[in-house]
Amino acid sequence: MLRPVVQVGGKSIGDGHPFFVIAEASSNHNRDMKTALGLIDAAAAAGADAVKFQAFTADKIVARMREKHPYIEHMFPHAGSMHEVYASMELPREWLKDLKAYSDERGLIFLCTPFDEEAVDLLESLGMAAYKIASYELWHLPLIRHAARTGKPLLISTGMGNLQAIEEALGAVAAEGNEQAALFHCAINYPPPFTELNLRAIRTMKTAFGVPVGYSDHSTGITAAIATVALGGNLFEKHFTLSASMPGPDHPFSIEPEGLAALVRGVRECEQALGSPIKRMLESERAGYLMGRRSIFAAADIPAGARITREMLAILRPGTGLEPKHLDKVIGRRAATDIRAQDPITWEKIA
Amino acid sequence: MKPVSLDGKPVGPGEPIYVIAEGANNHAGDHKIAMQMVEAAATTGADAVKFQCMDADEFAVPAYEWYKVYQQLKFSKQQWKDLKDRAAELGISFCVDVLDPPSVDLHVDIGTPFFRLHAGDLVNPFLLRYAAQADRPLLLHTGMTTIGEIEFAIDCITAAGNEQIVLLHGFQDHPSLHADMHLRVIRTYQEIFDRPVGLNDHTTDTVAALAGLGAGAMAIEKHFTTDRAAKRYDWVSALEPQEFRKMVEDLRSAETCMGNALREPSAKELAWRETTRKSLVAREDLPAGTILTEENVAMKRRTPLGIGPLDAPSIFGKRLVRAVKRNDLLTLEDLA
Repeated sequence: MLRPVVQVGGKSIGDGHPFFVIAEASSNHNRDMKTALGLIDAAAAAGADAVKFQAFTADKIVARMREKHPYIEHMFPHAGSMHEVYASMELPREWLKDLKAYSDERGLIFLCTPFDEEAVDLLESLGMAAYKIASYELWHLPLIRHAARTGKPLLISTGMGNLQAIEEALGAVAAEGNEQAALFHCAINYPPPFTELNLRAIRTMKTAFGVPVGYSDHSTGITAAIATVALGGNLFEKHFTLSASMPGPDHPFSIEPEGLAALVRGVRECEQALGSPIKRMLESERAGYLMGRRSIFAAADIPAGARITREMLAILRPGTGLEPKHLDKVIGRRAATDIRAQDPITWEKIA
Repeated sequence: MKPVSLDGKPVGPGEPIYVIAEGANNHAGDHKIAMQMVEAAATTGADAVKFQCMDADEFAVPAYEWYKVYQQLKFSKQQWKDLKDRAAELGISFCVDVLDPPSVDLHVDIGTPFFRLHAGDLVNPFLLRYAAQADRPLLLHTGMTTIGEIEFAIDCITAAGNEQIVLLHGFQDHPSLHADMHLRVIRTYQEIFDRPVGLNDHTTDTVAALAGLGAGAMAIEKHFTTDRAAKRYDWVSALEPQEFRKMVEDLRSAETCMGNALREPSAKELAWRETTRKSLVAREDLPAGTILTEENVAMKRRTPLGIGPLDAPSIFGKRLVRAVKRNDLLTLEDLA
């Protein structure tokens, strides 16, 4: 039985717990260690919960064939094959230990998406808190099973997936005796138009599977992040880069450090803003703004004993006295005392 | 939503539905009958038995049409305590409607664990506050009221420092008609007030109670009598012990039926797969060398299961290395 809340690096992800933000560095390090460390710095500065890289090797991810994905063809017009493209973006695996140590130092949970079983084993030896499964690997059940056997939570992206594919992936996790999995709804496309985000599917997935659900975002800006919080999502992943103008397939749709900081800020603000479902006057409103509401006042001097008419009354600010709804209960009664024009009417002044 | 504990039993999401046998004034002021009602209620599986407590002179003016009846309904403090003690002996909780301040005092004195406020008092801040200060759970009967009035009542109680509130949806008429029940309001209350919600059922059968459970009710209050034919008071929509017991049983069964929201085939269903899912068999006698196609392969029930329809593409187009008889299972061993 999969749990409604998963534990990642000492943090709980699920309903009733803080929204979990992963800054996805992907391959935006461009095989440069300084850039990779800079990405970790930027994620930490933005206030993300985790930073994530990707561990694939060209040999283990793609067949040596000539066809190129149209997006890659567009990004790498001169590359001979997909294999060549992946080879040019590989994260040197010997870096992982240092990147994790640096993330630990910066107080970030270090995550890395394994794209093959060896990557899982290597990452496991480094002490990962969880494993991300990329959308493309939702159907790679052998990899999912292998990662599930670590006993660590699996954070599974579901771009292109339907309920059946998700069900099979979660079933594979549970079959290994692992009770912790979270899902990301995702629209692949780099970037997808907002009309393709279908964020309501987050609710569908929560209802269908009873596990934490979030969104893995390839869209631009921070709208999807805020909406995911508002829809009751539990986690979020955002591609980020030190500069969107760097060369590489993920840079153009990645958010820059300032944007990532704005996203985390927005998420935290939205969490606070959702608050309570109870509709009521706040104590701060009572203290500060009752002055702006209206009460019943004397419009003219009303001598003691006079029968009060509508003309003798005005409904004015502040709202600290008798509410306007009592007007008809005041009219027709006698003044118990002399009431001066512009004085508030109170029950004490009425006979 | 936080659960509210009624005499030690939590009422809230995921908790068993709390059932109250509402004796109301069916005892007609006869303490022996009231005692019998407590004893009978204890045999029904109800969690609590309830009566109504009023001090006639604090509750109504003498000219009010029911004033004389209210006078006749009066029990002494000792008599109330005897009812409460008897309920405790029999393992059923005891509670009352407190209809005026002296009734609150009386039941605080004898330790009645929780109260219900009558719908007529939801716009009476004085009694709401007074009951709230007794510092025990309050059930709010919301018949006749509007959302704003319920909000007002809740605010009065919470302002007095009492957060232990259970709302009871229910139409105030005797009897209520099915068309008057509007059970969907139960969810509305839960959403807007974020508190446990129950159902006050004044219909003459148990359909609304059962449907109410399905609609999210966390408590059910139903009128109860030991003798409907005696037509004492509050008998119109009351169930007799055997009927009440049946309702409680049905509620427990309905609760079991509600189960889990996640769609997962049960072990029994998984067993049914073995006998109702289909396998690929020869549609006719197929000689060795036959190429398997959708035309000569049929999907039929048989046990045990063989290759299923989802895996048909893995054998279509393959050549049989041996003959297979009509209705015999197609296996990988039959293929080249």
